[in-house]
Amino acid sequence: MKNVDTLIFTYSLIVFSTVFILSLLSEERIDVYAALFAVEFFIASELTSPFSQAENRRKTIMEMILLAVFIGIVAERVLEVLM
Amino acid sequence: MSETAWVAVGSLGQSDCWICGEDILSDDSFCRNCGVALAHIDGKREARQPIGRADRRVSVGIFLAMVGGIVGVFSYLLGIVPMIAFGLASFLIGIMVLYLPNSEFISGNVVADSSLPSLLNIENLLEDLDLDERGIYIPSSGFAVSSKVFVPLTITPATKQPPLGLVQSRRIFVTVGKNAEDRGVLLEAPGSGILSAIERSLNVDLSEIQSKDLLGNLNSGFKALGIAKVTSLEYGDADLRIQMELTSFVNLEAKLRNLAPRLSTHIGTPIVSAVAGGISKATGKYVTITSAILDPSNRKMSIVLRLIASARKDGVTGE
Repeated sequence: MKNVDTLIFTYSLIVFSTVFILSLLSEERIDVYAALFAVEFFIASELTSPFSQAENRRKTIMEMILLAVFIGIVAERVLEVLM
Repeated sequence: MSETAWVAVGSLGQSDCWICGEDILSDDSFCRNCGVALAHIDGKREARQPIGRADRRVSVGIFLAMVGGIVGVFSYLLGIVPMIAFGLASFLIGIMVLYLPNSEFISGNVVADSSLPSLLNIENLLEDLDLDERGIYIPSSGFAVSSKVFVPLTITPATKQPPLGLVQSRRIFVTVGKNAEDRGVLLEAPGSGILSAIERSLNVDLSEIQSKDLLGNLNSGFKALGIAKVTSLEYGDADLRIQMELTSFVNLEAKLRNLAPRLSTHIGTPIVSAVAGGISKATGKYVTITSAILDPSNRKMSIVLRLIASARKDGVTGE
């Protein structure tokens, strides 16, 4: 299996497990799910590295978007606590 | 008749002659109507595979993104958070399937066939010049700088350690000392392309890494290129033993050992050469190949390299 396919497969496995586990725990905040999805992408990409140059370029863009989402969620929570 | 027509064999085992359009049975060698010789294109199925695979990938990506979007929107309207998360996950994975590129790997056979003639030319050159000494890999430095191998005419004190400046030389026949016998042939290492690709994929200059990181870097590089896994690397007194598990190029490696024995033993096949070049670059020492044993059935390769002294840093003495 090629690296990108392994990454997508691993990520799918982690993400759907998260949905299953959190739903069993009756988690009702969607931002918790989203933040975990973002973090899990980094975990999956580290587990399945290395990637070729072309694969790396697009993966980095994907990582930056997910990092922005994660920072946004965390910032919102921090503001919530501070306000 | 020298003319040849291609015939595409369909799923029912029958197709048309591309010259006259007559029906052709899958086992026909000549057209029953015009008599033209038929060349069956079984390889066409293989050639079409990447496109088919790409189509399938796009379909899967669109399906997942759409399912994710629809489930997400309906769950949002119904207020079921775990289902929104499920939709979001599907949507994300769909986007990833569509956006992340699937590196286009060229069939190993195509690579082997395209590189074989140039390697056979080196073999012929070595044979014509009657060069029996082992090639000496000159340590290079710099990101993605290709490595060079010097094959001496005879081993002399000067040819044992050719000057480092030869890495920049574009000459083939070089003299590295004052005497007439201090001559040899300077070649681009057969694995220099692979080595540069490894450095580019890791974004690492191998000449700047520590010896303890060598195994990890080589393994990651070869794995990223889909060539091999480096399973072990052991330092001896003056040699280095490397065990590899090939994931591709097994046929090329085996074929070269039969067709180009001098190249395989003295300079190394592309993968062996890439390893030797990488070791030479990382250790800053001259490297020669002692042995490179391939076990095609288990796809394993055992390489023994000899490290020769520290490289001296004097100038070029190429002709």
